[in-house]
Amino acid sequence: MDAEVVLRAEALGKVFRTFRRKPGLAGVLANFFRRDYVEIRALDAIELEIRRGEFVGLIGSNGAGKTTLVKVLTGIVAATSGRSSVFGAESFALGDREKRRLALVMGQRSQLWWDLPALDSFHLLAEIYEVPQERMLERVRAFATRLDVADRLDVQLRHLSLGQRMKMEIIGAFVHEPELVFLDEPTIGLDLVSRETIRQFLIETNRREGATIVLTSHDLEDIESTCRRLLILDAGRMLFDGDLVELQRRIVGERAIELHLEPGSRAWSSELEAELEPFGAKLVRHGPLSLVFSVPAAHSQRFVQHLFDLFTVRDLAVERLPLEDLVRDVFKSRTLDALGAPARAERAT
Amino acid sequence: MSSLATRARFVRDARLVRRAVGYELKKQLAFRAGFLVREVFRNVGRPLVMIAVFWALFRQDGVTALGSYRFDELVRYVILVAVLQRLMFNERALDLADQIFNGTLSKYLVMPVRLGRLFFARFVEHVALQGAIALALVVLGSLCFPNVWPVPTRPIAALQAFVLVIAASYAYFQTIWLLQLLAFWLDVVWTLMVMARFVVIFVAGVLVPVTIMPPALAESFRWLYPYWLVTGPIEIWLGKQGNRDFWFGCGVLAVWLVALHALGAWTWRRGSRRYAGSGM
Repeated sequence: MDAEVVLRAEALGKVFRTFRRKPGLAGVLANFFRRDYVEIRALDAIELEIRRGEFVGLIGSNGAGKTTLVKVLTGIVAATSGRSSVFGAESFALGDREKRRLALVMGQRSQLWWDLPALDSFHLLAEIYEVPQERMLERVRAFATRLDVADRLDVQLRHLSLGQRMKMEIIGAFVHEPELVFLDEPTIGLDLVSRETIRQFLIETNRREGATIVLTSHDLEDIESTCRRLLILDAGRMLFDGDLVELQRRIVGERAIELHLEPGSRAWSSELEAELEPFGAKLVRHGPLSLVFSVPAAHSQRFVQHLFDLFTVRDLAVERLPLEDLVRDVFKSRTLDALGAPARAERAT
Repeated sequence: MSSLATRARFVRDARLVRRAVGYELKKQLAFRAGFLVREVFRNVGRPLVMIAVFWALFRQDGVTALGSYRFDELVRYVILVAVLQRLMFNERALDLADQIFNGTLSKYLVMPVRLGRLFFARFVEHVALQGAIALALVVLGSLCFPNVWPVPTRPIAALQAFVLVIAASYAYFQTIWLLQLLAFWLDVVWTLMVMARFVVIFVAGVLVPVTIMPPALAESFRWLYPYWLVTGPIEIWLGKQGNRDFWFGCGVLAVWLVALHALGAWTWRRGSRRYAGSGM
């Protein structure tokens, strides 16, 4: 049975109206007396359905409308057209009941109180979300230990490092056991270790508590290592909504396998070409002790095993197109159709 | 909503405000120098300047009184202004306009809490802190300067004065709230607040008692809430006005509070639809 739909958007649109600034002093004076307004379509006919327990990645270039989409879905700003709902309630009119099931982390804005130690903020959040103080402390201690900030809980937020602050923000977001969590650039500016710790924490929490997570990030490693479903926004339109692995499979159907041979190993010869056929593999280039093949991703694993039977392997590397390259291709082509994938692929639920 | 649910909500809000007040106090006390300058020594020089100005006026030939005030009464008035004006809400304690401008308001919009409750905690914290300082000043002043210090003519007068000041201060808080909500449309909110503050101070009688102004002006000011922030309460304290004036002041303030609250709610509803969460 399909899981409950926790978030839905139907023909969702958002238009910002702003005046066109003319350059120079004369332009400033002209603007003072007369203004030409322009409409900026930040979101255009967005269709979306997210079910309980999903871990969804939302990516797009700067100005694509990612943050606007999050703001509209969470009811921070009103939509101009269409409608969106969270737990069945209209986003811009969420009641306390729905808000209690929701959390939002904005990487560039603190949810906690700047002048207070993080623990004081958690006490206040517990009061706001009506979480018993003992329960809150139990969760905070567990999360803080997991995120390696247990000894920083009583330090004023302003005195924490960026990474520690972001970990506190994430703890604050999960204190009330939310069912739907929006994370907008939670790893921005963090070091590798902190990023990895946060990713692992999110994966574990998604699995353990069944929280639905919508993650916006410019760091595609975040998306790749955590999400199963991917949304790609471009110029306010949903360019892709589907399974991340499916996307990779469709677009990056090939794997590059680089083989380094031990001296004395069997060398490449034309009669070995027949060995490639069953896997659909091709020899790309070869040297005295190195070979590079391309092979459909679906067969790469079996092909690698076969290569070990054919040669004495010293080293082997299987590479695929990084997601960055993939997304760049998507933005370059503006449509996945050109790359062999539909704009709305089947969703993994 | 059933009365049980209403009661539960009230209890929850009260607990939230109590905790938020605690944290607001903690924030104030975290920086000692800032606390002393902002909360204790703020405006301490002004009474001396005002007394000097009145002294210069009374030195003119033939001046024995300004309106119904003799010089010694004006000194007492000025002292009480210094004490009671502490309870007037400090608009710098409210940063709603900044939060609208820089997008930090967003965090509250996804929380199951009415924004006003959290900001109301700042008003309560202000009144609690400044009330304690004002009380300390009254006690110290009465002990150290018994001949000069204005003692309430009736014990109940002091209580009446405090009630009026706190209610009027809340009306001023509501005014600031309302002006800051204009940040949804305008970027000149702080200028408007400076202008509004000057008007409030003038109507309140911080500069001179309203009752020594032209009678038509003084009478019309009685219908405005700032009058009950300074002149009204002080004259009740000094015995120049009585119980009837106190109840009149309560009525005026009740009307203003209801009107400001309704206007604030209406402005919030309109403004929040324009919110863009910039900088998020």
